[in-house]
Amino acid sequence: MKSSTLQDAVTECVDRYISGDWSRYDCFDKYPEWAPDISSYLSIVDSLNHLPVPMTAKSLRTGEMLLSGELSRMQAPRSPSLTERTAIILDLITIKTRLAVVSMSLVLAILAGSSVTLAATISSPNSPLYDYKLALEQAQIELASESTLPALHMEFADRRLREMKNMETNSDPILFSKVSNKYKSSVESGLDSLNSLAEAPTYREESTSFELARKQYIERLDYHSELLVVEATKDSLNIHKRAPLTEALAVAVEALVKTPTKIPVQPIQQLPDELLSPKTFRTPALLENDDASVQSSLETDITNIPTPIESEFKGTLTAVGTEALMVDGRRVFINSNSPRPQIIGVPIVGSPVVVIGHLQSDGTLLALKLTVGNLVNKDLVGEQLPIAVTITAPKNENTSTTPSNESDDAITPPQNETSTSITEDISTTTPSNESDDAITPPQNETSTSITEDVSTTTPSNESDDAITPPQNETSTSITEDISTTTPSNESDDAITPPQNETSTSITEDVSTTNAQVIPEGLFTITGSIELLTDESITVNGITIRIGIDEESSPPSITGVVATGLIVKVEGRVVSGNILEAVSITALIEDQFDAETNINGEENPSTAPSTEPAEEPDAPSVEIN
Amino acid sequence: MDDPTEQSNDRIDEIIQKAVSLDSDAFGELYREFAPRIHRFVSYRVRNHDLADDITNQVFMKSLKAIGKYDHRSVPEFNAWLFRIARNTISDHWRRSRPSVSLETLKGSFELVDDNDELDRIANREQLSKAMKQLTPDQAEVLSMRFGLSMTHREIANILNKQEPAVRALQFRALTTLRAILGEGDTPA
Repeated sequence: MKSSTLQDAVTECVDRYISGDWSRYDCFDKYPEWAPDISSYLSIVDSLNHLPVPMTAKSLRTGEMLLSGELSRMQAPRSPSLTERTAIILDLITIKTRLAVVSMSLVLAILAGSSVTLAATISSPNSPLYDYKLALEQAQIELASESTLPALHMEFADRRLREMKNMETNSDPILFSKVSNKYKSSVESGLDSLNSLAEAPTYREESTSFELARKQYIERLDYHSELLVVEATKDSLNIHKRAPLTEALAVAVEALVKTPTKIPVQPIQQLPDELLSPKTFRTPALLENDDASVQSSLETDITNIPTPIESEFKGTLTAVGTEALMVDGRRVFINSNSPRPQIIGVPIVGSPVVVIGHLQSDGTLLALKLTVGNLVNKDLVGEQLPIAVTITAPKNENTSTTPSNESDDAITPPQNETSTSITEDISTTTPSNESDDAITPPQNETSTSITEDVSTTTPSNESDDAITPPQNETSTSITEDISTTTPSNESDDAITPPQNETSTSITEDVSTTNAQVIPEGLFTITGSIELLTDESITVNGITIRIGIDEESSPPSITGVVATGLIVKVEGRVVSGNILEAVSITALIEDQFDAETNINGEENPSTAPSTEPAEEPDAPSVEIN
Repeated sequence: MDDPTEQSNDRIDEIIQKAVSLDSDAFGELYREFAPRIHRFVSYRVRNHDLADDITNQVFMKSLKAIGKYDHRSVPEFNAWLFRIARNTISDHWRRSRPSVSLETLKGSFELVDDNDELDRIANREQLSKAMKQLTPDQAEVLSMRFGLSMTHREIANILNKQEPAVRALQFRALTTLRAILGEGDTPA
């Protein structure tokens, strides 16, 4: 006879089981009549106990850092008292006689109404006093000395950043835009003032002051970049907040790249005698060309060209821009009119790099070759230059020739482990050649891949992204732009078909074969997500089918995948030139900054309103 | 000899009192003590691990801002206070989110796992997560509080403004529903 109800038995057993008082067998002993039922209930309890994935030590540390940062802000001293402010301002008035009328009126306003000023200094963008706060800041700028201007501008940029961060997601988009523009303005003004310091003769001598101002400026920008990466990639953001944050991030990164360096004393270097005599540079690959005009166009008298000083240094990549990179604080141009550099590997912030280039009089470097070293996935932290696109096509018995012409982004993908590559851009000797970003990733060691741009003789075709697939293991592969042999066509995404396994394979821009079906193969694309739908993902302007439909299996997804995030998409090229993703890997994952804040506040004591009991399960992909 | 639970409560009591005066060390200790539990609670309500991390951190940021106004009396009350913040934060999250599912939540389905045990665990978690969605809001909340926050029936009853037997009944019905869905036994009549 069962002396108790199942509910009583289960409730007692569950309670005592989870408190550790009873084991499973204690429960059976106590309620033998319900033993089989109790057993199954306790299995459910076990499952429930194991349901949540425990918080990782890393997450705990991140949270602690967040709280610590927030506590510091909360404990920071408040604005100085009225007396202190008045003294400071009066002092400034005596020092700076060139006080503008607007500044003077603001000072009077400060003296007259301290409470208004205090309110203004802490006012948020949606406050009526916000414009007054901006005017006060402008007055401070008017009064500041030149040497303190960069820091002051960055202090105001800090404020704009905090304001953007703390604004509610549902705030007025115009306000977001206003604060974002102010942020941009502060960063750019800071850069301008730093440039003025760099150019001022006094500061060439007082390099310490300049270096200090520059260091502070870079530190703030570094901090801004990291913070903005975290903020702009939060899932909870809507487009109104994400867009200005992303824009601000671009501004910060661009400013980092443009940060001036001290003008160094040009080292005196005795040039070798042979460099003083006229030289003719000829491109070996074209010497056999019978066309005299072509030959003559390839002959360049370099007598009048000053010999640049070649320099090599190693460092860590701290910022990546379209025009230049920052390596340990030094600006390295990668997209100047000088010889286009060979870039081996994908330049990612934080990667160790070796740069060989021409040292400029302003201390910057025109890169000739940039090698990214020791890249592994765990190093993929921070921004990644959205240029790495690799198409790996399967081997094909037939040699395929797909011509190409002018290419804005000619990218030669990684080669296999046993070949080497020679990338030669003849545009250095032929001014008509146009290729903005010729990038050659790591090559193999034994075979040879030659990438040539000969479009100067055949300027008809244009392609924005010429993508060369990996070469086979033993053959010599040649990536060549031969517009002379091809009709004029334009293609944005040209993908090179598979190579021959044994014969010399020629890999070219397929701009002329745009209508052809690309043979099936594999590809890898790394870059930021421009568009994400439930059917496709667009990275670097290339749309890849996600394949979440009934016809194909969905891709494996690692990390948070959302618009604006940097991801690596691997997949295959299926018939009809369709790229289909097999895996999507977020490259910025779990990246929290100590200063990351939450958006919005609420009264914790307020009882919750209608709360969805379950996680929404609509079959759509989240797009922010 | 003193009860270890009581000793622990005394220690936490002391930490909370220091944290109320914005002692950073104390708040850090409080975070280390309570964050894993809040995270567990949040994990029952959102299946995305990263999101659970994020919401947990938001809970403590909010509690940091509000702790100055918190009138501390006992550890269970503090627990309940923290829980209410967590509950509100999750509500806020769902209010802000559109009814969609992120790709991340699909991740579990596509994970490639070599270890069979791990595969089983993932499969079980997925099954249980789906089964949890069949519970009523009250049932889900009781289980989250009971297993996520290790709250007693009395504490849960106070928060939900219900009688203890009602909470016990909710727990039983929730477990029975899960048992039926997961095929652990027959549904009682």
